[in-house]
Amino acid sequence: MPLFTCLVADGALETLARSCSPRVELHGPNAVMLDTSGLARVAGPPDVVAREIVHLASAQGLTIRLATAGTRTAAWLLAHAHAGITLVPNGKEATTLAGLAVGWLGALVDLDRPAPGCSRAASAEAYRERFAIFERWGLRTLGDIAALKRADLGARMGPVGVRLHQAACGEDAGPLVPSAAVQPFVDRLALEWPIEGLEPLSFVLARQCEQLSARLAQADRGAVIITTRLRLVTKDTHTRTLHLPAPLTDPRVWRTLILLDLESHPPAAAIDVVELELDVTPASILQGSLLAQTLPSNEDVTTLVARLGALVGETRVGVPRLVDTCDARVIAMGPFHVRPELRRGHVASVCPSVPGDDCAAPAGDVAATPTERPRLAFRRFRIPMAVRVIVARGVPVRVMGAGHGFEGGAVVARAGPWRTSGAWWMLDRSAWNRDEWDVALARGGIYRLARQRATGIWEVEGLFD
Amino acid sequence: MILIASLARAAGRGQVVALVDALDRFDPRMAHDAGLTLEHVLWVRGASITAELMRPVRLEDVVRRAVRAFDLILRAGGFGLVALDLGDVPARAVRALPITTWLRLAHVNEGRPTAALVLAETPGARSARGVSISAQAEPVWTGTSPQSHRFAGMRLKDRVSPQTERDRVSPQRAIRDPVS
Repeated sequence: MPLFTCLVADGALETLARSCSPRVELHGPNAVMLDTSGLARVAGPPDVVAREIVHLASAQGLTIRLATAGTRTAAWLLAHAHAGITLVPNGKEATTLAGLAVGWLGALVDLDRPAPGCSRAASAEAYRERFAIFERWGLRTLGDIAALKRADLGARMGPVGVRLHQAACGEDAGPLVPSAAVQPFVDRLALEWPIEGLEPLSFVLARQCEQLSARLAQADRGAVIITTRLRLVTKDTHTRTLHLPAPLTDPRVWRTLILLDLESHPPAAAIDVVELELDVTPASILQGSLLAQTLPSNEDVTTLVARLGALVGETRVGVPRLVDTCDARVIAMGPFHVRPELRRGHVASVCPSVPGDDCAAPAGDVAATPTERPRLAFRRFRIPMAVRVIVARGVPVRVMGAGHGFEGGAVVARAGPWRTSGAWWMLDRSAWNRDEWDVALARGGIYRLARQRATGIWEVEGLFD
Repeated sequence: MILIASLARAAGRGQVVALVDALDRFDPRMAHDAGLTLEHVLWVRGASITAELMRPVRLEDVVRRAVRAFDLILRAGGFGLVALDLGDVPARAVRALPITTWLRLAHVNEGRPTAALVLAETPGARSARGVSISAQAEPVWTGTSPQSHRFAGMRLKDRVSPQTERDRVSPQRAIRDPVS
């Protein structure tokens, strides 16, 4: 005879449940359903099994509600309705449930899978509507509902009414579906001879990545974090962690990323043991469009960013970000990834509001007409160049380089000063207070000059393009 | 100006674009004000050193790294526009690159729907199938009184047109597209 046990508690129950039965159905972190059918031969009758489970739970600091019945529905409702241990003899489910108030049927929302196209919230709302009808009919307990004819209830309330009648009789709507245990994705390889250098290591990594990839494919998962632990001959452990922007499943990409990272951060000695650990998440499945434009794949972007990071530095590759400050010199970067909306083609083509830009112009046409509105583009020197400036009547009239390649020259046109200041309340050196000028030099070029008001030093901040 | 406009146009179409900024002179705030969707831009920053202060050997190394980054992005594929900004790099540093560099880049991008854009002071990317475009711009100042006088931006002087190798004019800013 089937025997199901439901556990409810304010704590993580999965470990406890898996230590009692291999067939465990998880319903959130605080409720689990166990198939305890075969435990009678191992541990004894159901009451003994129940007490053992309660003991195990108390040893883990959990106070649980437990109900054992011949059906999942009965065990679920009784575990939610009654504290402590509830044991239902086989075939007595309907009798035991008969005294429960109708409102306890609301707990079924978390037990039953929602109908296709119907969310849990919609199911809960549908249940509440039926409960209101039951109340108008004068039905107070599950026994009252079980006394009705199921066919009549189905005719008046539809499938929801049938399910509620089933539950009131202690019958199941579906079988127990065991939840797979979360398995760690770790591969450890102890080498017979220590290896030095990344080239031999790449062969080892290739083998390990292939094995892990096969396991991930079976579990339909993708790696989001790769942790590489290299145990060295010096007994030290060299650990590197890679955070991937999207779940990746390609073992060649993993290996490339690990090797690129180890090129930048090589181990200090020969390697004895190689261990790879993956943090996984459900793999992303995306249906591409035949009509949408091609975008770089997550694997390509991740590999590309890693290669570029190895070439120019990890902190110098990314997506530019705006910083909420009035100091125009401040910049920020974030990790680059292709937005999912772009992949789904949900980003409508928009013409940028570039002054004078004509959306109707063909692609790549940079044609301009003399009547076109001016455009402003600026090349900013991250390290401003100090210059000497001759000022007459309060305006700069000549700019001279201070011993470097900047030639300077007479100022033929100017605009300013634009005074900006901020962060004066900060104790560090982020405060600024300066006058900015836009000047055109006789030798060509339009530059932005800034005069630090505190020191009187003039700097070239950049040039207009 | 042309660089930001090209990036903004491609990003506005929903494409992912890349900018290899050889001397780290891209200004995100002003580019955003010019209509560029920053979330679509992969920004590769070169050395934050003023070209005028740089030793020639160091400058050539910076250019080589920028070209290498440009190459990597083109090979990755999937970008709508990949721009290499050598705008402030002295012409001698660009000319120091082997001529095969540009042929190789043109070969990498062959048959791909990616526009490769090289911006430099002088046409340096000599490619048989590339198109060089030379443009001149003039500053526009607005306001009559000293208080209202301000720099409004640059305006292209004339309709720009493709330029052959023999038409190189050094003071002009030129764009090189290795693949037409």
